[in-house]
Amino acid sequence: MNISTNIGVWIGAIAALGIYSVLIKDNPFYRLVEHIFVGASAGIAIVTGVQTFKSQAWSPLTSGQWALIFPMLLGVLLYARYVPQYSYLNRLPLSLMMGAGAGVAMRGAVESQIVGQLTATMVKLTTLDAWIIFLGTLLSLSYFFLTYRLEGGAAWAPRLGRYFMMAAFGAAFGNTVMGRVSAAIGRFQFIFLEWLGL
Amino acid sequence: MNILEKLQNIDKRVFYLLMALAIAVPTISPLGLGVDVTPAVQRAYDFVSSLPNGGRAVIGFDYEPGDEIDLNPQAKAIIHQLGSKNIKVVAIASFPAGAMFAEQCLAILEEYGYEYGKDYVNLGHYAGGEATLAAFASNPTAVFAKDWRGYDTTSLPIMQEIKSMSDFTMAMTLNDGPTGGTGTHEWVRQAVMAHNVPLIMGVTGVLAASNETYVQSGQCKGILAGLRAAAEYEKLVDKLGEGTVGMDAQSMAHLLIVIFVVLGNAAMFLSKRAKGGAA
Repeated sequence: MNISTNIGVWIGAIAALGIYSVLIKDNPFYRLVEHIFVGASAGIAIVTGVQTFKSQAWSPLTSGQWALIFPMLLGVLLYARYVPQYSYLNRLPLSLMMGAGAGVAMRGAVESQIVGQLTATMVKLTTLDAWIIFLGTLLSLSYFFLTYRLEGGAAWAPRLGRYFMMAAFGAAFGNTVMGRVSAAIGRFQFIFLEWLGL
Repeated sequence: MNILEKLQNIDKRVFYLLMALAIAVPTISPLGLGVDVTPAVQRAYDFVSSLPNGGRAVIGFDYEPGDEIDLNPQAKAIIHQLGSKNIKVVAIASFPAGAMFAEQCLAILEEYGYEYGKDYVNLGHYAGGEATLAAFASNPTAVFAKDWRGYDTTSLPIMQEIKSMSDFTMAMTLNDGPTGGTGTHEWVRQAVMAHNVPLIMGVTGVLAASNETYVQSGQCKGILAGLRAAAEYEKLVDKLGEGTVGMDAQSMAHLLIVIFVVLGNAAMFLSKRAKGGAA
């Protein structure tokens, strides 16, 4: 056993124990750590924001890139919403952000998320995997065929589509459980190996 | 209360305690259960192996401390492989903490004789998500005037070789989702679609299912999902580390969950049948 002498490791370990203490029941130790976490997160966000402003806007501006004054002014206008008589001004930067964001995303979205995905379902039906992809896509889509209800002989299609989707949800849930267990493993490794040095 | 009812009403603190034991015991005393390499991880490894020596890779450290356990071991394992192939590495981060993780992981490259600024660089954090990634793809030094250590990027030899995303041989994102950072979809759009740069993904287990489609469509060359993938990659590069250590605990925790799910469901069905019989 080789207990850490690093004060940061001690704070982290005690905070982790505080958070896990809620599993027994809600208690002041847990709430203290929770509030410190929220406060620290807000502090980090402010520091990051200021650093980004300095590196991306203020430093280039003061070194001669005067055109940056325009996006900076637009940034200031975002806060106009807090002054009721000028709140309409914040629509200008918001519209610009939404337009630019949509434009940037559209550059590859059609090909990557529509054409590419559709093409991937058009496979040679020579393997079981290929059949599962082909049928899974068609039957899942049939579940969302909402114009009118498929009945009679065709009713099996959306029902099977639902089963395909349930299998996908199950896989996603399994992966989610794995992710949450990993998070716990990370904290346990930190407590036992890094803090206590076992 | 009979045994079937008791099984359906176990105090959740009993489960938490058992889960803590299932994780703690293998963490303190590894069982050495081992892992087999899955095709998705093998594909990612084979893809990196197929790259010419001396290429250039951009790695996005797009995760926060909560997902460090999944993604740091993945990053370290793949950086070992890049180091062994003398591939130059440029790191960027869409989360502030990502730049710190990049610094930790890139230190591995020193083992392979890499020199900071010449063979690898940590450009640090960028705000703005996809829009900034698109700007980086067009002109990296315009977005990052200084790197994480404060050097002017235009003075760094590695950055003088890179004028746009197209100059990279491969891209990788280590990603825990798009909230607050740059997600995997954004990387596919900006690296693969806009610049035709092959992409591999390292994601948390939660994101695995939604991103597998990119591998099936060929838009992504391989995907590492969660701690297990990290352990598999460590096995492939023959550098056992945090991923391998964590897998024993993961296996025991999953076994416990499976036992509880089976017991709970069996008890529910049996008690329903018993009630039906009594009625």
